[in-house]
Amino acid sequence: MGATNAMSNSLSQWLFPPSALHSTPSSVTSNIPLEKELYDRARGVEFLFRLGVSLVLPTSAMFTAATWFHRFYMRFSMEDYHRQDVAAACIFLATKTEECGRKLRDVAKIYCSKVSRIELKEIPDDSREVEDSENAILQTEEVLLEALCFDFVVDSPHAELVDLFDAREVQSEVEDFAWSIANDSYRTPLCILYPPRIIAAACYILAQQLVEGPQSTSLAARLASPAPSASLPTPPSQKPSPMTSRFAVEFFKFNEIELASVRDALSILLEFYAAQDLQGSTEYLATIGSIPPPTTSANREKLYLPFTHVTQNATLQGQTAT
Amino acid sequence: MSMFNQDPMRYYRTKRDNAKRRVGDKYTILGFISSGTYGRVYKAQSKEADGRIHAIKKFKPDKEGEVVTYTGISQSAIREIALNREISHENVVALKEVILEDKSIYMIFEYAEHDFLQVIHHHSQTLRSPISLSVLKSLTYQLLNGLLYLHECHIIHRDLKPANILITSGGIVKIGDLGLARLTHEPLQPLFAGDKVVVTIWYRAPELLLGAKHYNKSVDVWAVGCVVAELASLRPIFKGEEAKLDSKKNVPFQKDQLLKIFEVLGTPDEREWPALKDMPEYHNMKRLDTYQFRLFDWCASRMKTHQGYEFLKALFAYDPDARLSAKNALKHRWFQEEPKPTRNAFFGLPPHQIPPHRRISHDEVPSMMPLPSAAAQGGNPGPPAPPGFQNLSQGAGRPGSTASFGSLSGGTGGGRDTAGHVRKKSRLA
Repeated sequence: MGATNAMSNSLSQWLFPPSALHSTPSSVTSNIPLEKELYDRARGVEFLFRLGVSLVLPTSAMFTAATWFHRFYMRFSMEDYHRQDVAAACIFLATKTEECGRKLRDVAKIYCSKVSRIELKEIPDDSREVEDSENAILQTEEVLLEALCFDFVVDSPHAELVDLFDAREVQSEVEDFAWSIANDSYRTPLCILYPPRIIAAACYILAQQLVEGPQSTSLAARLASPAPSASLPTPPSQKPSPMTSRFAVEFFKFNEIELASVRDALSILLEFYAAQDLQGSTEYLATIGSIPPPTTSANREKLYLPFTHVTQNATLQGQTAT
Repeated sequence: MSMFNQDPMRYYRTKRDNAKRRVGDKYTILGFISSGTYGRVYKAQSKEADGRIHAIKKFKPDKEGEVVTYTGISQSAIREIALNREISHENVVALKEVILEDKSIYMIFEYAEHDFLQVIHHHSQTLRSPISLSVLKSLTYQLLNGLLYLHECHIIHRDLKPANILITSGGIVKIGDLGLARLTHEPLQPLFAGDKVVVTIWYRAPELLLGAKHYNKSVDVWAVGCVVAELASLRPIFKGEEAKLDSKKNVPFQKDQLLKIFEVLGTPDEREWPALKDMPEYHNMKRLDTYQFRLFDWCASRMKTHQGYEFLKALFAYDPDARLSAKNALKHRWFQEEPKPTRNAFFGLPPHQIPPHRRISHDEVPSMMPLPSAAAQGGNPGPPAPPGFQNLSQGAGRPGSTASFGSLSGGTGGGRDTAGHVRKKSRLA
């Protein structure tokens, strides 16, 4: 086991049914409640993105690292490997596979700076903390390599979105929103549940709904199967034609099963947004939490609890690395 | 922090190490094949029922700066694994498995009994006769077929040379050693910068020799041209001396190598290669003597037919954009005239014409592979090359071999190479 897997096609073996989230190593071996695990996954990816931005990595490297992060915790418990160590190891490894090499020392210093909230320039090169971080990153890297079975190449929904954008002139606002939602999707485990095109479609459709407002075609109609008949009278308020609202669905030529997956992916995204404390955030985030999800196929158990609830219950779970 | 981070880690590593199988549990190391900058290659037999033979490439750790400390898994290993995991083609060596053990990466490849260099040696040293046209054409066709696949996967090999091109005992060509290979689309770093300079000098394309910062797949096609010429004549066609980096690490002008090319292909001019005058080394080049094109004469006795000459000429186009692509090379009329290439390159050959089995050395095993039995013998402090090594040094003195690293090639390790490794090793100790 471990690294010595057969060299098989890599994507399918890294997709799990949503029910697998209820039996992750964190849950089975460490009794960590699902809502806590999902909260820490979101925080870990947030930390990972912050490291990546400070290191000025290309976004593709960060998306790859974030995917690995989620894959890692399908094989190891969050109790045994701290999310910040795993995030840093994912980032360090991604700099090697994505040809944007950074020195271990630089990754470790930025890690220290973020964990201890000290200005980067005030951290000396040879401090004990930097050395400890280097060791933590290297030790985690070894475990990470095995957890990943040396499958380094990962696709992102962003690549699919680019194809989708290229296929048609659309409002740039939809594109911007879809892109941001795809970024946010990495805070959820969507990348280990659905292939990139499903996620891309979910992000795009949600972005359309956001831009077109609550009076526009519902998510349910956007994702209904079969497509709502064109002969039915269309309410005048429904500005974008059904053709436009189903653009992504048609572009990807989804079959029934894939359509159901898009609905599920969308509902997980909406659940994630609704779990945030969105007060005081930007307008679009404030509305996103209240969008009714499409009806989903399976009786999926709810994944997310409000994060404020999770933090209140987590006793003495500091934001730092200790 | 260190307490929290490291103690559970140690516990889990122990647990994991006990659970997982080590290289020595799965493979019996039969001997040492070759070594190079990035690591060493061993011949090994699977302990599974099929008892298959494999080549295992063990990576040395990377260095960061002058001090040798462990700074994570080697980027070259990661890169080679990432590329290999994405590809699968009959004419490219297949990666079977990767094992991480004691901070070292082991890549387990399918084994190939022969390589182009070995075939060349067998014909020049033992048989003292040229490679038959049928074998030459079959080897070339399969090489281009594998290269086309790599190029269609957006991979530039960058280090094609006879030692890196393997042949199975069934006569199937396998391109090996993607250690320098890179993806071509959106190169995030210039392919030239920082890196080891690309392609062993005898096989290096003129645009690289003239300092081009941007180059493409056609550097591999140039190398194929050099390899075909070497198969046809049993010696490197452009056997130049590499100018070494000076003390300031400036990249030197590769005068001798360019002259070797010009002697056969003539001095290039702007009419046949419009971008020539923009090359960084253009002015240095202009100071060299001028030569006439004489590839036709070169080919007369060696390539046998006119199409053979045309084929080689098209691979050796100076302008990278005018050079044949792998795809068009496969369509060349040379392959359509008799004898046609065969799927088994050795098809119909009398047994004595097939090169002997790859030689391996047993002496290097104990010091490099920490097998249970070997570990008990204690560390090997890095002695001079053991006697068994002499067998391996037939390629000694060829720059083409010494630049190689862990190429899966027998007969190319080279005494010089090994000595260098031992020297480095003892310095680390």
